[in-house]
Amino acid sequence: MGSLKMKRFFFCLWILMGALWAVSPAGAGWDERISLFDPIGPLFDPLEEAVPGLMVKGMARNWTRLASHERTRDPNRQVGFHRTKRFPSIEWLGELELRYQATPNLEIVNINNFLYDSAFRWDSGGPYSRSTRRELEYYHTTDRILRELYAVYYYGDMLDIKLGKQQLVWGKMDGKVIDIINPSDNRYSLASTSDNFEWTRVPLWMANVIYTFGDYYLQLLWIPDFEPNRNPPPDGPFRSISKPSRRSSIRTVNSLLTGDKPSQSFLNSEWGLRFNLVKGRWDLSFVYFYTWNDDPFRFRRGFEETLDLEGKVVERTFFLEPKHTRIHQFGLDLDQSFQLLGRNILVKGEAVYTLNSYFPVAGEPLREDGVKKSNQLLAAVNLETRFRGEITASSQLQLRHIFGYNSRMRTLGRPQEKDRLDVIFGVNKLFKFTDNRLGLFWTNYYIDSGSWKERFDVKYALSDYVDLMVRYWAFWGNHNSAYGMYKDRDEVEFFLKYEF
Amino acid sequence: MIGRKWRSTLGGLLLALFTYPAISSSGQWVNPKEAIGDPWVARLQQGRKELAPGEKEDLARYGYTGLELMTYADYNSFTGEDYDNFWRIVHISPTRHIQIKLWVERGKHLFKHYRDLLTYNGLQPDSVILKFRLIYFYPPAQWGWGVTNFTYLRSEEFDKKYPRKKTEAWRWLPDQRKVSRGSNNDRADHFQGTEMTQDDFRWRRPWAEDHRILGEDTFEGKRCLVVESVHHDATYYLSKRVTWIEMEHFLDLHEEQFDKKGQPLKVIGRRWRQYQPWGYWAREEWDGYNLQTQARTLLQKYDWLYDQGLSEEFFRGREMRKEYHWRSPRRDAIPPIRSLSDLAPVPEIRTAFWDRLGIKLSLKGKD
Repeated sequence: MGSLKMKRFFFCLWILMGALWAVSPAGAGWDERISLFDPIGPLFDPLEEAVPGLMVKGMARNWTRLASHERTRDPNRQVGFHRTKRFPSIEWLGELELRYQATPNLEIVNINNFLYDSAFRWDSGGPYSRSTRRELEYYHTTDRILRELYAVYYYGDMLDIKLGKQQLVWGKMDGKVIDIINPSDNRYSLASTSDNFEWTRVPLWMANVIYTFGDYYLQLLWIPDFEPNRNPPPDGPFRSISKPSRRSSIRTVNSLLTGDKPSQSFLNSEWGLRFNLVKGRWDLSFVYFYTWNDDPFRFRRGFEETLDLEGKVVERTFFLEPKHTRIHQFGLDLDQSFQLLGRNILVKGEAVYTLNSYFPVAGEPLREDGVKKSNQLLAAVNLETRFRGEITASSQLQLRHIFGYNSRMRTLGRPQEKDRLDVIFGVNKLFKFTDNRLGLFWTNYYIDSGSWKERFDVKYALSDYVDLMVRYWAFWGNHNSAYGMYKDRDEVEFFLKYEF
Repeated sequence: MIGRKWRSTLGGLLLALFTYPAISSSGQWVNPKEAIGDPWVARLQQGRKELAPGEKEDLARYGYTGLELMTYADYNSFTGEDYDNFWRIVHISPTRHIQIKLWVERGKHLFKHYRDLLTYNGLQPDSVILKFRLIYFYPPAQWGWGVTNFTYLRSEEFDKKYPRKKTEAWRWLPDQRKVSRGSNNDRADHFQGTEMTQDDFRWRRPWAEDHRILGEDTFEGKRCLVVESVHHDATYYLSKRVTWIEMEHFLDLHEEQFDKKGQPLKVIGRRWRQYQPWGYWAREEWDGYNLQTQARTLLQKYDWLYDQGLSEEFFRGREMRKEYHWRSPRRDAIPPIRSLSDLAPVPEIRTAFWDRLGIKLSLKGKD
C-alpha cells in the first residue's frame, strides 16, 4: 500500500513536468521553456492595467512530508506503539495578495491563504479525532483564510500608521527570540523553520504606529485581538510527549477543564512598545510587550480519588484549568559588523526577559494549584560570515535561564532545567555552475542536555517562478530529551512552489 | 460614463503625477580632464611620487598614462549628485536558461567633486561616499525586496587592513519582515549567480592595478586607447583586464578579461548614452559573455534621472519596510525579452587588434 502511494506521488510529478513541456513556447529548448513558464502571472496584467496602483501576486505550493519510520514508539507503556501516517502531511497552500497603492502615502493590502492537506484523503488512516482532522485538513474559517487586511498611511517622514490584521516581526536574527508579537500555528513543531514563519505566524488585528525622529523611532502597538498558539495535534507525529510517571500503585489521570480565552475588552488588550536607534554602525532596539501568554498554563483546580474495596486509592484524577495569564516581556536586539582576521563578521543579538511565567511543580500538596511563578531569560547571539565561493557560515548560541528556580519544577513530566544552552550551527553553499540556482544547506541544532536535530536541504530554483526543495530532518538523543523523544519521527520533505 | 480608453488614460496620468517626480535639471556633465584638472592628480595616486618606466613611455607616446585613462573612465561612474534608474539583469546560462531581475534604484554621492576621492580632500578611507537603495519588481519571489547599501571610500592601505570592508548593506525581505544586515561577498564571487563579479559590479578601483597602454584601436567608429590592467594582488582571480577607452568622453566601451592562466575568459561590451538636460553619460548596458562556458549576462540600466535632490530619510530602514516602488518602468523604455532571439549578438574579442599586436589568442581547447 505504501509503495502504491509513492508511485502515485511520483506519477503526479511526471505529469507536472509534462505539462511544463507542453505549455512552454514552441521551438524553445527545455531550459529556455522552463525559465519562461508563468501561466498565471500574465492573467492579472489586464486587471493591473485597468486599475492603476493595483498589484496582484500570489503563489501555489505543495509541501509533502514523508515519515521515514513506519512505526513510532510512545514511551507511555500504557499506549504502546502507534502506527505512524506515512505522509504526515501533503499540504497545498495557495496565496493571493492584492496591494493597492492609492497614493504614495496610502496603501491597502490584502493577503488570503487557502490551505488543504490532502494527506487525510491520501492516507486515510491515522489516529486523528474528527475535530482535529477538520482543523488540520483545510482552512474553513474566515480568520484563517483572510490572513491579512490592513491599511498603512505614511505621514511625511515622521509617522507610519498601520491598521488592520497584520503580522509584525521584532528582531534581527533567524528564529523566535523577540519575534513575540504574533502567536504561531505550531502544527509542525520541531520541524518548523524560519523560512516558513511568514505562513505559520497567526496575524492579529492591531494598530501599529511608528514615530520617527532623526536616527530614532518609537513604535506603539495596541492589540485588542487575542489568539492563542495552535499546538501540534495530540495525535500527530510532533505532539508533546510527557514522560510516563513512575510505576505506582495509584494511576494518575489529568482531566482538562474547559479554558477560556481572554475576553475582548480594552483592559484585556495587549500593548507593545519599541524604541530603535542607529548610532554609528550600531542598530539597537529596546522592546516591551504587555501580553497574555500564547500557551495557557495549567492550574490544578481539584482532584478526585477512586478507592478500591479495601479503601485504598487506586486512581487519582486531577482537574486542570488551562488559563492564559498576563506576562511582561522586556527585550532588546542589536546588530553590528566587524572586521576580524581579514573577514567581515556579522553579529546579531536578541534577548527577552519574561516576568510571571508559571511552571508545574512536583510534590505540591494536592489542594494547591501545582504551579510556581518565576521569571525567565532567553538570550541569543549569532555570528555570520561569508567565504569565497558563495559559502555562508553562521553559529548561534541560545541561553535560557530561570530565575527563582526550584528543583521540583517540571516540563512534560521531566525535571525542568535551570539553564539550557542551545547551539545552532549552519553552513550553506550556492553553486556557480548552476548560476546559483542550486544550494545546499545544513543546520545542526544541539541542546546541552544531549540531544540533536539535523536539517539538510537541497534547494533548486527551476526558474524565476518555480522553486524545488528536498529536506531531511533527523532527531536523536535520549528518548527523554527534547529532540531525542522524536527520534523515530525523522522525515523527508518535498517542496514545490510556483510564484507569480 | 467614462470609456475604458479614457479610464486608462486618466489612470496613467494620475499615476504619472504621483510616480514621476518633477524633473530637476541642476548639474551638468564636465569632461573628466576638466573635472580633475591637474592630470598629475590622476597619474600619481595613493601617495606615489613618480611614474613607473612603462608609464613614462605611455605618457611620451600617447599623452596619457594607463592609470590616468582608467581614472577618467571611472569618473563617468560617479557623475551627478544623485541618480535614479531602472536595472534589468538578464542572465542566460549555457543551457539557455533565462533569469531576469528588475529593480529601481536611487543613489546619492556624498562628495562634492570626484577629485576629492583621489586627493582625500575632506574625506578619509572609511568615509561613506555613496548611499543607494533599491527595490525589486521582478522576479515575483523577490518583489518588494529592498537593499540599502553604503559604499566606503578606500585606499590601498585600507584594503590591506580590511580586505572585506567595502560596503555595508541592509536588506528587507518581505517574507522575513525584518530589516537585517547582510554580509559581504568576496570580490571574485558572482553577483546573484551571473557572469558579473562583485569587482565587475562595483568594487574595482583604478589604483589597485598596474596599467599600461597597449595601443590604439577604432571601436564602433570611435578612436580608443587600449589599456591593460594587472591587479596588485598576486592572488587576484584574473591575470589581467584589457579595456578600450574612447578618447573624447573617456567612456570604457569594451573589455576583455583573462583568467589566471592567461586564457581569454570574458568579453564585455558596454553601451553608453548621454542623458539630457544634464549631459551626464550613463552606462546603459554591460554585456558580459563568458567565452569558456558560453554563459552571458546583460546588465541594463535605463530611464535615468539625475540631481532630483535626495534626503537622508530615503536611506532609513523605514523606507524599505514600505515596499514602495517610487517609479514604475515605462513600457517603451526598454524592449521586452520574450525569447533569446530578442537579444543582440554576443560581444566578441577584438581579434583584429590582437593581430596587429602580433598576439594570437586561443580559447581553452580551441586554436
